[in-house]
Amino acid sequence: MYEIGKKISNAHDDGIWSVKWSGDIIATGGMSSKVKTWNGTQPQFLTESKLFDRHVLGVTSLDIDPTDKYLATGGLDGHIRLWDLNTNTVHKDIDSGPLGCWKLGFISKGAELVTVSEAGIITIYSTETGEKTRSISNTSKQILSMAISPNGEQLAIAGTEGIVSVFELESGKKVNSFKAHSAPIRALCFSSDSKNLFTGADDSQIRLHDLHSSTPFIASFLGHSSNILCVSASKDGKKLASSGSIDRKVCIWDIKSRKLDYTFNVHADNCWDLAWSSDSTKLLSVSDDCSLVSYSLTKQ
Amino acid sequence: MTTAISNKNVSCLYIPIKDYDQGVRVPIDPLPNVDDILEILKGEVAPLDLWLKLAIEYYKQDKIQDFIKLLSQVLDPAIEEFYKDSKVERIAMLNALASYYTQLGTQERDKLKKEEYFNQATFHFNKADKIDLHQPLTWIGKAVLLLCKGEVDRAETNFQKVLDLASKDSTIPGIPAKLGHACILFNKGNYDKALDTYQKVIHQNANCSPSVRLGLGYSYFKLGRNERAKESFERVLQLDQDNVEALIGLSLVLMNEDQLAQAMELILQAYKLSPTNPIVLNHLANHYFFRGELSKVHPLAFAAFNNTDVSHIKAESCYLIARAYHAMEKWKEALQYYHQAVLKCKDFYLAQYGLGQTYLHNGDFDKAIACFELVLEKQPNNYETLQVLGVLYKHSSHSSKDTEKIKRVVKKATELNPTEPSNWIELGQILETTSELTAALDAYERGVGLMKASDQKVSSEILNNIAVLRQQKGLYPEAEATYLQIISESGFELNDYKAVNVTTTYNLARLYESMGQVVKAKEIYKGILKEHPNYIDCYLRLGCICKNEGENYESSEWYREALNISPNNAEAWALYGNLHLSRDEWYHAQKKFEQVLESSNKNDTYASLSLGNIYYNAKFSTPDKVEKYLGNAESYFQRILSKNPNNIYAANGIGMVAAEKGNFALSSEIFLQLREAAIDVQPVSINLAHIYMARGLYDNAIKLYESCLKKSTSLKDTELLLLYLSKAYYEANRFVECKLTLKKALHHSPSNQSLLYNYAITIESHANMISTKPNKKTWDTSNSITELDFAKKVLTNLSNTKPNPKLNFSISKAKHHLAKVEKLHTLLVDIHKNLEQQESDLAKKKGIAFEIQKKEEEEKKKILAEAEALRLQRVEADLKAAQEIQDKINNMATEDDSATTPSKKRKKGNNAEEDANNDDDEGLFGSDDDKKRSKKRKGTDDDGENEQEEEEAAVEGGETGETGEQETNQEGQESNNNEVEMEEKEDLFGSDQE
Repeated sequence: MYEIGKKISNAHDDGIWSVKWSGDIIATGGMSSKVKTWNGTQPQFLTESKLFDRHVLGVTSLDIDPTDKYLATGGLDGHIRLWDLNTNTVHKDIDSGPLGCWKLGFISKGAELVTVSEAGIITIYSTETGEKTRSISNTSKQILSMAISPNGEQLAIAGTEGIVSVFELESGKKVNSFKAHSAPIRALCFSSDSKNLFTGADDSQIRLHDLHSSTPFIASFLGHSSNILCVSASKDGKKLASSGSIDRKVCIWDIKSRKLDYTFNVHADNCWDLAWSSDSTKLLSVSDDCSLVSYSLTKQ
Repeated sequence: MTTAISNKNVSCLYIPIKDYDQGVRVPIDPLPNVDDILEILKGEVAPLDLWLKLAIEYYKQDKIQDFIKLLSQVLDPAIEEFYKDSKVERIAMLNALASYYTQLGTQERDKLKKEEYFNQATFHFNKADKIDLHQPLTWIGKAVLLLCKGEVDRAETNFQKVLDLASKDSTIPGIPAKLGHACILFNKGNYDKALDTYQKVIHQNANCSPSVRLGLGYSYFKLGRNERAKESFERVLQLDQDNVEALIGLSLVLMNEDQLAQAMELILQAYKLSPTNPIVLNHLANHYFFRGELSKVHPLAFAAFNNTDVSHIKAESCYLIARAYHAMEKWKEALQYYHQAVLKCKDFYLAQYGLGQTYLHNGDFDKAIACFELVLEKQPNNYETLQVLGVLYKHSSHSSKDTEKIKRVVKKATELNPTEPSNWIELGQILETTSELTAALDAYERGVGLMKASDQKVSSEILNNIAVLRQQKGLYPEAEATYLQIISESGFELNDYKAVNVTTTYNLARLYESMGQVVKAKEIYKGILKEHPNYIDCYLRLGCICKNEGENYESSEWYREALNISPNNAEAWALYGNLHLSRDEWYHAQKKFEQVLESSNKNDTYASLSLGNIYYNAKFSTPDKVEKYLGNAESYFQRILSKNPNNIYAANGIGMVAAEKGNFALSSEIFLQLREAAIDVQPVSINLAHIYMARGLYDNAIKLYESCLKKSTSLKDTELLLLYLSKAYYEANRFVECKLTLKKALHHSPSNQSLLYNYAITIESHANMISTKPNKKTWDTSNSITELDFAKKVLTNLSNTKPNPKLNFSISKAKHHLAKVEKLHTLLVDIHKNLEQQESDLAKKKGIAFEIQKKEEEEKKKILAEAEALRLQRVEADLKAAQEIQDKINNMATEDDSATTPSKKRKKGNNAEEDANNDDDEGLFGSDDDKKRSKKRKGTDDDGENEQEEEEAAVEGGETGETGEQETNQEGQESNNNEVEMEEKEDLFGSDQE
């Protein structure tokens, strides 16, 4: 049964751009200065928990570290803020310059934080000290999306030119680079086994690529009628969720058969981000329409 | 009609002799000479009813001349005068004459003579009317006449009148009128009511003539109650075994019951009795037709045709003749007679069908369609007709005209026979043309399903159509499967199949293209080109693919290839032009579109429109030739409009040119009109919003941009609209919304530097506004300072970028703004410090004030408590004293007691008054404070931009606050006020700029 679970209509005062779900904690951020956390388990599922209000401009990316200790948020103002979820205070505030941190994510089991700027600069910070530890050299510019492989070994980035670059996180070596679309790629996500990569682009297509092949393209997933804003594979490796901008859709795909399973039409504006529950039975979506929606995706 | 006048056989009549009891005996058979009789009648002044009786006897003996002569006497003025009082008799005589003429008229075939007879009848009825206008008999007569003349409605009213009278006055004969009425009902097809009336008549008059039962029989027959019809006809035949109509009726019933032999016997019997009866003849002809004796059909049918005046019987005859010719394949004659039949009786659908078939044979499809459509009007569920029509529509020349009609026909066919696959395929094809993709696909799939179920082979054309439909519906994998099925069923490999069927292969490539499998698509296109080097579409698609992939040079190469093969291909030139347009190569694009107009189509709308737009855009790059280019653009747009006045884009162009020439009134009128006509055409709405912007109507512009944004269907449009909207907000000084809009835009395209630049400028303007804002709070300034920090960084970055012609902002301006932002930053930091100082002072004051108040209150309480204690002491003392006095002076104490109580009361009263005074003081204080605050608010509104005064006001605000509690309230109120003020101010800014 695929059905809408709960809809929080005005979860934020302005559009929501980013959502993460780790165990009991759900974090959302967006256009407004506020970052919120929500309860991720019953019986208080999706009730507001904490509020962090420090960013001046919108929050474009956020992540929760695997130990649920820190929440990292990155905004248009270039400030990366690490929040201590136990004390609800700012642990570190790192200034990376305007648009210096477009996307971010925890790596090394939460010990480090990787960020990529709009200009394509990849930087790695220590979570504990907030100091920059190293950077990965990259030549591609105008970056729109970033993904970290579930096994924590690889980092993929893509942008306006439709080119995907894959790096080995430990060595910082570029291991693969290919043209996945001839349109900007805004959505990027590894398969649960870290072997394949999903891309979603402005050409309304989701494509599946084999990262270990010289001709990576495997298949197209067609069903969206506008540019794709997010792709997210479930942790059990069975489903792929995707969301669109103008078509406002949230689509659920069966990865094995590559078929569209279900389409939700809940949002009234761009649906920017999606997050799976760790047991792959629930999904969250956030949108410019200020709403946070949960879906129940259990097979009967 | 004549049945009404029935008489018993009388052997002789007596004419009474005047003044004697005796009479003259007149033998009936044979009747004497009419002149002799007349002499006697006149001489003896015989009563007129006798005259009538004699006349009827003459009529019965077929001495028509004598009958007329006798009755005509009534018109003689002398007789008229003499029998003045015998009105009824005279009317009867006139009616008899009139009825006779009516009868003559109905039997006459010569139109002129017929007319003459009817006129005679009318004449006599009129005479009768002159004697007495209200004689029911005359009305019935007239009604019959009208009925015979075909004026059914008037006849009916006459009958109705008589019936109305008869219902009131039982002496008036109602039966004839009822019969007439029933007859009319029958002819109007109201068989139920006719039957009812006939039944009533028979009930009233069991001995009525057999013809009434005939009516009953036919009514039953029409109602499909064959058993009762049969009974009625048999009863008639019992009464009158030679009644031809009853024989026919009975045979019809039998035919309906499939007892053809018996029916034919009856027909033959009828034929013997009345060899000229057209119905009998037609039936015979029909009989021979079915027996295949075609040669006998014609004489019979012709005879029927010649023996009747009734058009539908004639039509039947014609139909029979035509059918015989049709069977003999004499098309020309068949056509002629079918046509006659249809002319004679428009509702005769069998003949229409025959006519349609004949037209069909002659290849006259449109006429055939018209015929079958008429059949369908009468018989909407006739499956054969539906099927024939469905097929015919495809061949007709005007099939595109009324697809709705065609759809209805074909749909009906599928409803009537849903197991016939060809019907479904037919329906699919029709729905395809009307772009009802889902329904079309559904129909095709059902058709194919049925074909498969019955092991029929599905043609590759049908499969191809299904695949195309699936592709159009976005069911790409299904479409792909179908294409591959077609190819595998053909027994070829994909690589070889392109030689067999280019269309399917090409479609497959188009499918791959829309599936995003560009590599596969390209491969197939190139493969097709190897086999069919002239397949232009492949070159064009390859060009498009390359263009989409950003490989512009390769794209242009493919277009050029296409143009080598077909130098005048408008589509190729237009695509080539578009390629240039996408790269802003205006000159080259212009040349390409001009080529379209020159070589292929002088009036090509697309090319003309593109050229108009190119000239319009050219004015931006060449400021010195603006006039000329705008003129050129206008003439292109005008040219399109002269050919195609409904072209919205051309009209939009005219509006753009008008706006560019500064004629905002005209252009906004154009855009407004266009918007009404086509609310979904975004460019029009956007242009109208631009005009509003130019005229300073920012709010209107904002509304329009926002509604466009909601409807936007492409990311490109969305980004542009966000830009326009932010500009509008900026101009309207609505900086908060402006920043939000820019933030949205930045989130879509973070690499767009001009967005960042705009963002920084907006921060600057907003900070500027905040710095001059009255009653600002530290929250405002601190926010603004952080934003300015960001703006500073952005502008520093931007002014340090390397000069590059593609930059979408000006570096020098960025530097200029950077300086301003820095200044503002320091200013705001100062203000912020001040504010913080003030606020902390205030807080301190608040603290002190609170302390003071607390102390005061405590003191007050202390004083009060002391006072109370004192009072109590005193009271106690008094009481004690009183007690003592009372104790001491027992009986005299009453006076003293009365003196002390009032004083006690007075004291209490004083205390109460004091309390009230205190309350008053506090109240006054509070209200005073309120007044001051409201005054201050007004003041700042007036001099909103004056910085100094504001600061004073702020200081004042600080001073007025005295008591802690009130202060907190005030703060809350003030922050609310701030918002209101801001909005008001925005409006002020807006109107200033207007």
